[in-house]
Amino acid sequence: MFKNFKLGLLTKVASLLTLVALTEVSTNSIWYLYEPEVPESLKNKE
Amino acid sequence: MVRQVSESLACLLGEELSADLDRIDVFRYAFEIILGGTIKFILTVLLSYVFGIFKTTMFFIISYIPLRHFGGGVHLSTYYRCLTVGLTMFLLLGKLAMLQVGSKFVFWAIIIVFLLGVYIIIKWAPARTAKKSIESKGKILNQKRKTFTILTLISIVNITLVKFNFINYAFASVLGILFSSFFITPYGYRAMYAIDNILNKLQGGIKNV
Repeated sequence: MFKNFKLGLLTKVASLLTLVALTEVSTNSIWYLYEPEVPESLKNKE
Repeated sequence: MVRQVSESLACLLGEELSADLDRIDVFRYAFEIILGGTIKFILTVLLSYVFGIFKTTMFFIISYIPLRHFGGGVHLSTYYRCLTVGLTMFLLLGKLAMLQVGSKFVFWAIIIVFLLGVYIIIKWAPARTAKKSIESKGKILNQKRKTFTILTLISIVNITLVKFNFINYAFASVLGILFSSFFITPYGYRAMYAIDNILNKLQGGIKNV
């Protein structure tokens, strides 16, 4: 049961991270003065 | 360090979910954004509080971030340069906004900076970077519209702040618009590249072109 809960939670975390990455890559900028290296798989989604 | 921590966290998550390398790289990218942004934000809040310029610095950031988010702009080459230059800029401008200025001065500053911002958005937004650029005309126009909407909303809020005599907060917000707009222009790029090149020379690195 704990294993299922952990997997569910991590899947949600992964979805959230993917959403952050997709939002960030489509807005052409980040908050401040440095931008991390954009993943190859997201470059065609800009 | 942020990059290494992000990579480690992404690998851990990837292992648990049996994700492929592309997916792990997406996690790393998101972790880098979240961790980097959080560290900068916490440091900005702490230092501005220590220096007694918390409110003006926050008003500066509230205007600076959304415009930069949609309008784009120049970036420095490493996270630590960004952290140092960004923090110094926020704190200095937060302090500058504490100056006693008249409401008429701030009112006209809001109007002039708004017009300047509109010109910059039409001409240069969304600004390209070495790592990201928008090529589609439709997306560029959409991004210009969003940046213009944000600029208009912030300017209306600033006029309201002046009306209710929150002169310093309005002044801080005007400075936020001014600097965010400046970093969209080629002059902002030149200024930041000059800083990057000076730091490269000091560290014996490579020159930016």
